[in-house]
Amino acid sequence: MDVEQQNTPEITAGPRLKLRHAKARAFSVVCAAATWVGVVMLVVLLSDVIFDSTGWIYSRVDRDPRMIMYKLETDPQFVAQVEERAPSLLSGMERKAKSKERTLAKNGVELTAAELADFKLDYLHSQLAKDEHCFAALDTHPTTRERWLIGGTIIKDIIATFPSRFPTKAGLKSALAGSLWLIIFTALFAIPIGVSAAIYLEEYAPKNRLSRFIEVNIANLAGVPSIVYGILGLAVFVRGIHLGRSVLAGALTMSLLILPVIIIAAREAIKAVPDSIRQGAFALGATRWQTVRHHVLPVALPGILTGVILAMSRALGETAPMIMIGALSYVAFVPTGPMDDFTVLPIQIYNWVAMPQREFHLLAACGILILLIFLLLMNSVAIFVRQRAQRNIKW
Amino acid sequence: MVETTKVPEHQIEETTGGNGRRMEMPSIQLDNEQIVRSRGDAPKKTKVIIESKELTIRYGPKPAVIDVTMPVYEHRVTAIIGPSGCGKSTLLRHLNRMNEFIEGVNMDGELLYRGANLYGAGVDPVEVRRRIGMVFQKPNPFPKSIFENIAWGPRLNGLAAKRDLPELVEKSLKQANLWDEVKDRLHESGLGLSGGQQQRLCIARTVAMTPEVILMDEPCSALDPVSTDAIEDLIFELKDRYTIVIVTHNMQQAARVSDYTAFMVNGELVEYGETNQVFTKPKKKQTEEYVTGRFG
Repeated sequence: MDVEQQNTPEITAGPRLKLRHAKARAFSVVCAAATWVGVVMLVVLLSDVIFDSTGWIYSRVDRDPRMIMYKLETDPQFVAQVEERAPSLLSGMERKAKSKERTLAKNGVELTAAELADFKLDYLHSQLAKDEHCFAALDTHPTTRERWLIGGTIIKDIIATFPSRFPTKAGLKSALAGSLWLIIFTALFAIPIGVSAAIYLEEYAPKNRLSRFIEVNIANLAGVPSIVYGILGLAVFVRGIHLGRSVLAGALTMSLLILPVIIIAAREAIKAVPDSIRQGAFALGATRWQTVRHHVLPVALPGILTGVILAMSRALGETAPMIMIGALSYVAFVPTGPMDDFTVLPIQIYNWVAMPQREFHLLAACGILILLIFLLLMNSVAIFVRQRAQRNIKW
Repeated sequence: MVETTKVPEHQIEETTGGNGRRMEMPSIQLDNEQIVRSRGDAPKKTKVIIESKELTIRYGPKPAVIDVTMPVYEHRVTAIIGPSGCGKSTLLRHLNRMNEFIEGVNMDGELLYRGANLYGAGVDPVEVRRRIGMVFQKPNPFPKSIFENIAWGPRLNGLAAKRDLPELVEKSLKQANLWDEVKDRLHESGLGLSGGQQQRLCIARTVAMTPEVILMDEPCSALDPVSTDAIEDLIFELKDRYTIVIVTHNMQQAARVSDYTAFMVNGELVEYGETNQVFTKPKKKQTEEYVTGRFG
C-alpha cells in the first residue's frame, strides 16, 4: 500500500509571531532595566551613607585622644616615641593629674584610677586641640584591632551621648530614646486598632454603601500628606486635650498617620484567606469569632505583619508631623514617661544636616545608619514573629 | 453559588461523533435499573428528621428554590439531583443555615428539624450547624495538622476533654476509613493528603462533631473515580449512624448511594421518591428524560 505523500508542515515563526516575540523581549528588557535602576539607586544611596559615616569615624580614630591613651598604656614602644617627639606632653599629663589629685585630696576627695585617667584624657584633649602639629608628631599608627576598638567607643559615644554643638561630642541618645518611646506607644495604639478595624470591615461589616464609603476614605487617608496629620495632632492632641508636646501626643499623631496603612494591609491579608476555610469552620459549629481567631487570623498573620512592618517603618522615619506637633530639636535628657518632651531620630538627623559644619553632615550620615539599623532590628522582630506564626500554619 | 458544569459521565458515553447529536441508547436505562436493583428492596420507612414545607429561597428578588416540599428520612441517604443552577446546592445549604453568609438571602415557607422550625426565633445557627454538619464540593481541610483538623471542632464545642481527643480523632478517622492511611502522620498538614484523602478528612472532621445529619455538596466532583468509590463506600457505612443528604451531578452516584432521590429543575422539585422508583419508573416525563440522559 502506498503511503500518501505528506507535506512537511511549516512550524517556523511567521512575521506576526516574530513581532510578538520581539515585543515580549522588549517588555522583559524594560522590566529588568527598571529593577536595575532601583537596585543601583539603592546601592548608591546606601554606600554614600556608609562611606560618609565610616570614613568619618575612621578619620576620627587616629586623632582620638583615647587612642593615644590606649597606646600609651599598652605599647612601650609608642611611649618611647612620644617621649622623644613630644616630651612635654607626657610630663604635662602626669603633672596635671598629680595637681588635680592633690587639690582634691585637700578637700578630702579620693580619686579612683578611672577618674584619674579621665583627667589625663581631658588634658590630652586640650593639648591636642591647641596644637595641631602634635598629631603628626605623635604618629600613632594604630593596628586594625586598635582601630576597631577605638572606632567602637566612638560609635558607642554617638549612641550614648546627648546632642552638643561640637560634632565630635554630639550624640543621639535622646533621639534614640525618644524614637523608642514613640514607636512603642505608636505600636500599642495603631496595631490593635488597625487590625481590629480590618477584621470588622472584612468579617463583620455588612457590605453596603456605608462600608464602601468608609473603605474608599481609608484608602484616601493613606495618601494624605503627613504634615496634615501633624496639624491635626497639634490641634487635637497637643492643644485640644492638652497633652502638650509629649511622647503621648506624638504617638497618637503617628498612630493616626499609619492606621490607614495597617488597615489596608490587614484587610488585604484577611481577604486573601480562602473562603472555603471559613465555610469549613462554620459548618463545624464555630462562631464568627472562633473562625476568625483560629483560622482566619493565623493564615492572615504574615500578611498583617508585613503591613505592620511597613507602617512602623514609616512611623519611625516621619519627620514633618513630629516637627509640627513640636517635638524638640535639642533635648539633653531622656524621656522617662509618656508625658515627657521628646525628640526623634529623623529630627536630630535633620538638625545635623542643617548645620553649616561639614562634620555635622558626616555625623548625620552616622545617624542615618543608626536609624537604618534601628529599623532593621525592629523589622527583624516582626519577621521573627511572622516565621513563628507561619510554623503553625501547615499549607 | 458556583455550580460546576461538569458533564455527567454517561452523557459523554452517549454523545457520539462531532455533530453533537445524541444517540438513543436504551442501555442507559438498563444501567440505572441494574444499579438500583443491585441495591435490593425499597428502603424501610424511618422517622422524618428534616422536612421542608413550601420552601422558597430567594437571592434578593430572584428565586433559587421554589415551593419545595420534601422530607428527609433518618438514617437514609437522600440525593438531590438536577441540572446546574437548579437550586439544589442552595436548598442543601439552607438545611444548616449556611446560606446566611450570603447577602440578601430570604425565604418563605418552613424548614422543620424534628418538628422544630430551623429558622424559628431563638434557634442558634451555630448549634444548628453543630447538629447538621456539611462536607463541601472542594475538599477544604484547615491548614493545620491532620490531628488539629479533627480535634478543633470538638474542642471548640466542648464535646471532648483534652485527654479524650486522641481517642476521638482515631475513632473519627476510622469511621472515615482514613485511619490506616494517616495514623503515622497525624501531625503533618492535612493539605499534604491527596484530594480523596482530604475529602475523607473533611468527612472525619464532620463526623467528630457527632452530628445527626451530614450534608454533602457534590463531595466527589473534584475527585478521581477511585477516590469517588472510596467516598461512596463511606457514605454507605455512615448511614447507619447519620442521616445523609447529598447533592450530586453524577446520576449513577445518586442511584448507587441514595435511598431517596429528589429531582429539581429551575428551583422546582419535579419529582421526589424512592431512588428505585425515580430511576426506573419515574412518574414525570422530565425526570425520565434526565435520568436516562436525554436532558440536562
